[in-house]
Amino acid sequence: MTSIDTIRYELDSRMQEISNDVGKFDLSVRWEPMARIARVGFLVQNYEWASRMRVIEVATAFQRAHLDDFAVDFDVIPYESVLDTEFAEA
Amino acid sequence: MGSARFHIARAERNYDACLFMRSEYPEWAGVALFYSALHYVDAALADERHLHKDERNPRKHVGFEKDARGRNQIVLGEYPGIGVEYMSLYDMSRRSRYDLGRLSVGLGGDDATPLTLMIGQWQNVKDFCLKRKASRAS
Repeated sequence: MTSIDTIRYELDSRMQEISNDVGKFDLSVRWEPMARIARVGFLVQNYEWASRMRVIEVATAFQRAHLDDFAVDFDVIPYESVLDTEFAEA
Repeated sequence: MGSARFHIARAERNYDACLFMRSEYPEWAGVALFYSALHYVDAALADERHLHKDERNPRKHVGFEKDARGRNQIVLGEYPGIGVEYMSLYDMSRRSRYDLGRLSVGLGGDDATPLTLMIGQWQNVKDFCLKRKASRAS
């Protein structure tokens, strides 16, 4: 049964596989059970084009694996953007 | 067929807008670029007879409803070959509108570089959709 915990667990496992590329990461997960939409924020330390694309590949593969289960909406966000007020509000 | 022509015209116009804004407003150029890609996708979807009519003319980016999925889900399911590139353009378009003052923040400080990379992704989406459309016409 899909829940925030199952989504987070699977995404965390997939992100661990690219942690050498993206550095420290965190996941923000929201689950809308009625609409069956998972909204995910991928916060990554190394926010460069190549590492950002690695995250998008992970997010896309995750979505493809669950096309019959639910929809995924996601953002890839620099880790420091949630720590730096000036950056976040730019 | 008329719907497809409409979407291709919108796609071309949005790309023109991207080029117009490129030097002064690269973050908005990225938004226009994504909406150009979106209309190329819609042009291809318009002729997909195996899809429900609501999926030949999708009205939302994200959604799980049967026969009325969001465009992102339709792209990933029907056109997996451009899924990653389309999602990259979608993500960058949203981030540049809502989160960041400048497209390049966090991407190396050079506005031109990420936009050039995005245009490469847009080109692949465009080529795929036009080939898809042409293959059904013949």
